Amino acid sequence: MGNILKALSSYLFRHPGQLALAIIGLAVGIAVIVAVDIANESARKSFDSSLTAVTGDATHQIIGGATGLDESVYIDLRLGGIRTIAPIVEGVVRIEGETYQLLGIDIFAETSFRDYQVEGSGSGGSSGAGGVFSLLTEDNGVLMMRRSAARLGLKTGDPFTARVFGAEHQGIVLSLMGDEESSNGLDRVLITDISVAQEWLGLVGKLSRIDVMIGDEDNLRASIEAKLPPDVQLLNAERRNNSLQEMSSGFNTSLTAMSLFALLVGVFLIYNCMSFMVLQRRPIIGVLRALGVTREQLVAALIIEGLVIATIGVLIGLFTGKFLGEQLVSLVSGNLSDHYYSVRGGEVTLAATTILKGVVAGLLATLIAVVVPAIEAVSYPPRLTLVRSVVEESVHNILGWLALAAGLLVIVAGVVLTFTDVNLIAGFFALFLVIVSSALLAPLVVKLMTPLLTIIMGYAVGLPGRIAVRGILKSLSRTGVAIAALTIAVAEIVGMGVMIGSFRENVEDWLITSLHSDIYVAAPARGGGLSLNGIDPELITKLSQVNGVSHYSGARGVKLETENGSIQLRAVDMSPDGGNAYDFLMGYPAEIWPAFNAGEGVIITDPYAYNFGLNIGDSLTLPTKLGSREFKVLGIYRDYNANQGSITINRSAYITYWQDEVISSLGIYLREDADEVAVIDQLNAVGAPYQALIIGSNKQIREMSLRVFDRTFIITNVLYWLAMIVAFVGVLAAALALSLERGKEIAILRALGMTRAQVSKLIVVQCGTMGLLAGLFALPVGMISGWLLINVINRRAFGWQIDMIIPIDTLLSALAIAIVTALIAAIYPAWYATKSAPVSTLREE
Amino acid sequence: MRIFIILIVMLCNVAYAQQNVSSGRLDILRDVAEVGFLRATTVKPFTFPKDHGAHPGYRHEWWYSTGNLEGPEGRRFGYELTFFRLALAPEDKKQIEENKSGWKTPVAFAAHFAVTDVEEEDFHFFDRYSRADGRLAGTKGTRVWLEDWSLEQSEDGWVIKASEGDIKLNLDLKQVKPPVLNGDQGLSRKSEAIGNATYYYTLPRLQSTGSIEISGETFSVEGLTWLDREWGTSALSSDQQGWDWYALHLSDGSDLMFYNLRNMDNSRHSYSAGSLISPTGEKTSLKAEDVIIEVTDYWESPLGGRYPSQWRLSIPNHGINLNIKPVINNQELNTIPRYWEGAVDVIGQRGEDIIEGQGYVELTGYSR
Amino acid sequence: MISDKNTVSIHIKNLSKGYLEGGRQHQVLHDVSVDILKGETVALLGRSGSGKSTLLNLISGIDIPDSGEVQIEGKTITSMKDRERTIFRRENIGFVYQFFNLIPTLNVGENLRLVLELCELGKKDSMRQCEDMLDAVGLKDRIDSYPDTLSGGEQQRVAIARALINQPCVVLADEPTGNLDDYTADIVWKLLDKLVRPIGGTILLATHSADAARRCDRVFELVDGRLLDRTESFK
Repeated sequence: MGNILKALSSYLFRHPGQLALAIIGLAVGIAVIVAVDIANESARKSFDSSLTAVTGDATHQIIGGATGLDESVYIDLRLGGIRTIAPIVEGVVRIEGETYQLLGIDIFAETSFRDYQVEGSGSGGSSGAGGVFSLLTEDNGVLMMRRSAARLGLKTGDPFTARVFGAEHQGIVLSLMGDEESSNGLDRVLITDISVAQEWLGLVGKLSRIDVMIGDEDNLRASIEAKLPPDVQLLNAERRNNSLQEMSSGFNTSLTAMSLFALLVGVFLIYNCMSFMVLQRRPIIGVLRALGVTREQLVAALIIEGLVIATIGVLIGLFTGKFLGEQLVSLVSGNLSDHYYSVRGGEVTLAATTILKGVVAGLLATLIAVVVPAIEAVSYPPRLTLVRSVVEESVHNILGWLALAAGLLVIVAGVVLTFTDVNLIAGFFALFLVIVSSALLAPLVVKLMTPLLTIIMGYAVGLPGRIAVRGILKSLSRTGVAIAALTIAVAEIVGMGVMIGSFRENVEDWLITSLHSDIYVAAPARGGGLSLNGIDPELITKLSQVNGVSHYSGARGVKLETENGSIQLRAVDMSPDGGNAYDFLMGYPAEIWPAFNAGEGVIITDPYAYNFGLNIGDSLTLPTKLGSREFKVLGIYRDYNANQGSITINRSAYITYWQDEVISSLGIYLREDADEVAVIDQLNAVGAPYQALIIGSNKQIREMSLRVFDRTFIITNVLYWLAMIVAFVGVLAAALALSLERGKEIAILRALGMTRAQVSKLIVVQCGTMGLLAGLFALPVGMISGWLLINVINRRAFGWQIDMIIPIDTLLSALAIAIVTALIAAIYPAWYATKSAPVSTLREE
Repeated sequence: MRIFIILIVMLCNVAYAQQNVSSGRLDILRDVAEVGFLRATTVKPFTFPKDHGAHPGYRHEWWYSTGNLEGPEGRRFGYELTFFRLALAPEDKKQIEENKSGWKTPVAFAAHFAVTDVEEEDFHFFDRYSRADGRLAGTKGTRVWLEDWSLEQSEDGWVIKASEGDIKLNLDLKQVKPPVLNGDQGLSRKSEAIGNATYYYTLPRLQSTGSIEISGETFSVEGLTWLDREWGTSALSSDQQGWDWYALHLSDGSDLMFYNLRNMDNSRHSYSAGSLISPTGEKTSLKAEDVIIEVTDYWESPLGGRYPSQWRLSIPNHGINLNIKPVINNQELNTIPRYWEGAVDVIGQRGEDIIEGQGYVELTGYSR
Repeated sequence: MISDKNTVSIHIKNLSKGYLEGGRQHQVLHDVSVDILKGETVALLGRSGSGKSTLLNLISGIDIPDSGEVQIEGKTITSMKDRERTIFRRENIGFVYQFFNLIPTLNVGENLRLVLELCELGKKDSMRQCEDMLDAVGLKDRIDSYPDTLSGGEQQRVAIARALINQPCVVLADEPTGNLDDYTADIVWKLLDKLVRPIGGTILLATHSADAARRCDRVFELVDGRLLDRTESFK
């Protein structure tokens, strides 16, 4: 065995370029898998730990009704002897443009819930206790994570300015928590006394929630519930965590889709590079066979060698992947913190599962990549093994089988989708199958398209063009896999592009429809999105009298917590033409509005209906001030506002059930002759003496919404990066392989009088054509993926119904990316092919 | 003498919930600044019931009730209910502004509640902490409470209410002796330093009736309660490692209180002192050298540390010789820091007469 | 048979070439000088590894010498730049190899036309020339076939057609019949004779075969890197 291995591997050592190529290809494949997985895991983990840090060990939470949770609820429970509870006031503040979660706690109620690692809490530290207690003694003091403080350039005792919806508050850093490295999920979380949080967030007298720990004793739950006012609920903490997690699921879905693509692309890349190493040595294998080495010995030797190389590649890949992952994570977490939740960035966790995924992908792909061609190579009589064309012939022979397998996979995908209704994992599985099947079809597509491309390229660049294109087909075993990898990478761009593009168009349309008023006025929402007092009624009258205002409709937006997660409830005074703002997917406006205005029921968003399986005529239960009440679903309308969806109710019905007359926002309609800018100035001037108001025109709000949307999907830039890297390495590997293999052909061409430039051109044309082939094939594959992402993944994840739109510019840029990266990848092989006049090869067979 | 407990417990328990506490915690005590607080420097007249209420302006204050109770068929119980007020910073006298949070206060409360069940040899104890926001905890007139634990003055005495888990205590306390002002007319100096003192008075003998509920079983009880009230600002000096406090109700109708401040070498600090109260309420001050205490047995805490568990206390000037013995050994409160506070039986002589008694002893600075 | 005795076709002067092999300098050609006249057919004998192919590669400009110079038709190719030399080669030198070396991805016609295309000949002319040439080697009907469907002899005939299609003044043949049976080899010889002589081309033939050498005007043998005239021994 030793000598067999030596005979095989000495070839590699004498061709270090090929060995390096195999290792690099493998490493890049692993790196991509690992990086995306890291990004995914880290985002999830840091989200989870933020969650744990914020919700602590609470098993349950007490959540207020539409008008929030009165702090007297907590005090009454405590005085009633209920002790495993802790009050929380939380909300978002901004410091120097960064978002922080402000967590107001009562330190005395906390010890059993959360673990605060405060500076100096180790042995001998004395300032630590002072730090925690100064929460009580120092006005506006906060505890800050060391990492946050380092980022903001703050140290203990330093003052800072926190902005909360327009208002500024002077805070002071009392103490630092955690260390630079770990931060137990509290980075971007500021801890302060409950009194400070109430004052900053405008929630004096209110709590965001009460954390509750209930053991196995059910009577505690019952005795708490007996003490709660009707509109206050005791809910499972898990439920609430779930609903918080849903906020980030948009990312998780994108990232999961990405890691799926990455895994496949990585595996193909590995397969490509490793199988090449075997194919490259068919002559040696032939000689060894002729010398009497058995098939089993050869296959075993190749496997051992392959695994040794794979191990090196995997190790390099893991490290590279970690680095790449770090870059992704900072991008992802910045993004998450911007929109969804305060999440720390930059901290990379290389989870065991990630390593496992990388290692298994690497070794398994290597094994297949080695075993298949190895078995194939040794399955011929020794003499035939020496002949190269035999390999290619066999590849062409299995194209039909590959196509058949692809067809079967698509059928399985169809079956899976048909028989699963809302299961997201099944959706991803189907997507996976479709992508795999497209990869299987790639060689056939190459074969079918080359005659046409041969003519085109022959026409465009002459016979070298034909040599180039036919060379792709002739080395299909090589190029087919590279093109498949490139196809998946580009299809990923197309698929995500189609999904996001469609989504954006839909959102834009929806914004135009639903933003019906000319100007919107809102009272700043404070902690937990709740605007306690809304807009002063006196001010509303004054605002409506501003010159140019025709009429207005008032609305109240509140959040209700239920076992099914939080629900956005909107109470609206329907203005005469306000009904046009709702694009009903189910129900007829002529029937809906009279019933709605009579308070006979509610209208709900499409995601809400989808998530809870509701139809027109069904009833849903809401916690009202009067206790739980049933409401009839009158209509279902399009909405992209909240993941969970929302419910709209007539405002007078809302007042009846929730006893809350507050108006938190106004939609103002202008007279035809009014000057919008002037009216806004006037509204601002009128409002200023009363309270802080957010006033925006229809257009501003629309633009802002779209900006938010765009930032949310900034992550997709990562896709382009990854696709480029993969495309680059894939094509580079294939092109290098081809030029190494075709050394003799190139020598002949040179002997026949081709200049170096002409030979280079040939290779560039060849690579470009591979890019073109992959790009072209990726378009339909990408569009199918896009369709699946829209109608299966998104629908199942969020319930959003999106009309698919094919953004031409995405398709064109994907095609361009495929070709350009392929051309860039051609540079080195083109140079390599001509760097020396290959004299000796001419005399070999 | 409970100042150590309150300060250390409060500071440590909250901040160091997960940590072991070493003796270095005394340092923390000094971190709570004394600046801005009133101090017990001079003798002041006491007026009741006003002085039964809180004394804002001083850093700390406590209400300390301990008592021995007897149920049906002579079933023996001991109890402790204490409230500690600690101002972490001087209280702001400013009017409460509009839009200010009701949670805002620099004053914290702690409370300990313990019941000794002699027959079952059980010791139940609980501790609580809260901010003194006037809702969850605080004082109002002569009422002091922390959540649903409370001590308040009634028409002819006091009412105690405390419950946690399946332990409940409800007592009516009837005052039979006037308040006793300890030390120099209520000014109790703890060391040479001026202001290193507290105002300290005692309601030594409160006749107590009520009920104790343990695990769903309710016992009617009666007995005697000792109520200590003390407030001040200063901490002790660093050369004192702990103290032993004795409060005994004797069968001849007299009551004895003595605190033994222990130096680092375990010797008695010269400012150790006490009061001997006659059946009619006249007080005789006891100086350090007036009282001889001999430890005759020890008890090893399963949690670490060796506590004295039997004493021979004699006051030669008054012909008093007493043997003191805990009703059960394990009456250690496992809070942070741990201390021992338990019901004791007394038997001995006064002159020629045999006297008996019951009482409470507090031992700190022994846990290791 | 010699058409113009006075014109030198290939002028080789003091040509030396060595390779580093396993760290040792191996001198393949040692100060070789020779003049080959236009229209001459010259055989180059020598054992395997004696440097025959190296000499051919130096003459064609595929390889460059350590010292000395090569002139073809009066042009010093050893002093040309790579691109210049490549262009000179495609216009003036035809190559025939032992293993045919056809481009597998091009069919027979395209293999021939590639050379013409490289010489930037119009498409129509090249098509006609290509057909004529294939006619001459008797393979006109195989114009659309790919090389791997042809027999060895047929492939070599295509290779000859390719080598001669742009009417080179020098044809270099490296064991052109080494891989063929005697009968087929004879056909190939006749073909070379028939096609090269009329255009006055010079043929330099590397071979082991004494038979082949006897067909030539002059015979040289490479021994230890030096060129020895053996013409007399083959007369």
